[in-house]
Amino acid sequence: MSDENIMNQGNSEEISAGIKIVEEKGIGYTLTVEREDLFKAASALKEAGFDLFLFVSGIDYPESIKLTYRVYSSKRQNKLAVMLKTEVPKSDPTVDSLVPLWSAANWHERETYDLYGVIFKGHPDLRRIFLPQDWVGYPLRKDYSDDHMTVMDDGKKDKDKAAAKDKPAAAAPKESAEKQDAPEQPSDIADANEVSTNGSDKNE
Amino acid sequence: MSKLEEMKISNHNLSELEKDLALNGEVESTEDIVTEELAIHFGPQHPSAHGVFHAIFHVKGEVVTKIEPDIGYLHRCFEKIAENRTYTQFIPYTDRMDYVASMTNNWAYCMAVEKLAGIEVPERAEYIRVIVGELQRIASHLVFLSTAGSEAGALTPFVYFFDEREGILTLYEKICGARLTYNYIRIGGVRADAPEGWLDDTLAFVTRLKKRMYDYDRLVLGNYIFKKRFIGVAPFSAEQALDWGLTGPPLRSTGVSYDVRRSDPYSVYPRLEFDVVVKYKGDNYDRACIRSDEIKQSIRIIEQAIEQIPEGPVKADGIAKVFKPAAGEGYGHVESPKGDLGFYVVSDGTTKPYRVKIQGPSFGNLQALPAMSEGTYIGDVVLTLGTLDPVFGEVDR
Repeated sequence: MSDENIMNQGNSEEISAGIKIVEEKGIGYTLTVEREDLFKAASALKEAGFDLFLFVSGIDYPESIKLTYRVYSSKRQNKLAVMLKTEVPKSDPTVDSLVPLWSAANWHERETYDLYGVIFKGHPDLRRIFLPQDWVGYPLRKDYSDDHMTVMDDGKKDKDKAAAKDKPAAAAPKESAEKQDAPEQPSDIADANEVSTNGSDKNE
Repeated sequence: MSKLEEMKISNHNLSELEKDLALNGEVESTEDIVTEELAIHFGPQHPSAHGVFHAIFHVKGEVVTKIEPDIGYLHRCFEKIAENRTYTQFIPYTDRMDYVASMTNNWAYCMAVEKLAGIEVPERAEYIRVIVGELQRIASHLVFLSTAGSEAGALTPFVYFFDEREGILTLYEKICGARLTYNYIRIGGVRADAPEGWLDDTLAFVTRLKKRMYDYDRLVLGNYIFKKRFIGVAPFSAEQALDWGLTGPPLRSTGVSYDVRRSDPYSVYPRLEFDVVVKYKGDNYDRACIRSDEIKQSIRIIEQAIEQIPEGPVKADGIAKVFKPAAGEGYGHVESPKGDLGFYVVSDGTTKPYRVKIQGPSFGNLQALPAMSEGTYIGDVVLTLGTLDPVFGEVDR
């Protein structure tokens, strides 16, 4: 959400010095901070009565990963939940762990580490949670791909066809020999117009 | 502290055993016997695990000293799949998350997209959503009560509760054609209006269930053995529950009155009268009782909704199968039978979501299992796991 959008919302409240939550369309009260200030802002929220940690979500953008936390208060009378947002650059995806504030952050941060590769500093046990420990890559990043993935054709059929034509004829047999289970066809894929394997010919 | 005490007790029992063995001449001296910590693997294929759950229990005698949960066996990349489907195409996938309560999954996802795209839902559709959503809560809690009973050795109630649930599945079959994976709640409303006589059938069903709940309570919750196994086991305080991020019945059993239907009212819940059921001890028995009481509240809600439901359309006009909401974010959450189920949807202005984050209550609740059951007997861990009522389709997503 852009800064203008946040500024346009009238409803807001200052939780503590410099920590101000504003209402944002679609998701409720929001607090956006720099990643260096994340722990401080989260501590202020906890002080203000936000005692229930609900989730942390990564969102992958070309240069950065945005993190959205949601916390809820069982003590306050109004403005019960806040989305806490921050952003980490992909070149250095580290941010302070919130486990010291809410034990519940443990698995949620592990999940975000597993799927986005965000390193939570100070996390007691930062391991993959869903995928095997020896998995390579972070699947929810947009540039992730592996040999098992299938993607829906979303009207880029012509582009695929062009890519298949451009491919040197010698390259195709070599590749199918490498991957025994891969469907052996650049042209079939373009015809099937629904499913194409990402590994064989869809990489740009 | 209680862990230590438990250890002492088990050591005491052991020394009694040692004496017995020594008297029988099987052991020369009691000093030779030491209590050793054992690591027992539970699952991933275990009938009491409620799905594919793997955990390593470290036990000393009968007492569990440490639990290492290991999840992910049912991870199906739903959040990634969502980025490759249109907004409407993703609804059936939500059915497969918490497959005991698919209707509320549909609802939470559609609500998030509706908030994102600014879609108003017609009133009749909201009432139908409330009715099917509350029926879903009853169905899910009936499954809970039956499995909780069977885990404590009571196999008979299982049959009664599944028979009742069958009634709900039949009602669902009439309204949407499916018994488990409904795909009924759609963006902007519901797929089709309730068929003729469906509301009467529903009313007849809940009226009958209301009468029977008294007997069912006595059958399971009032049972002597059930009480012995559940009361006072694995208690959790409100501070602990909040710290560990519990939601839903496990949180409300500790005295925290957090129910999305009241805390962040959605749909037509503000017009309906019901109580948020709260218990205070936070032990296994409270976590079980709260579900039975919620069934009664759900029945109240359904009765009122059927009385109030207006005529009218059941789907917002002008929503195409493929549509492009403006770039922005939407967060929708409902009180699912398991807890606070939320969807956080981010749009970049194309036909597909840029990001769908699923906040599954089972995931958050399961996380508290080690804190809850370390220091209890190993035989009770399965009961504690049962009272958290996790569904692994939702934990792993």
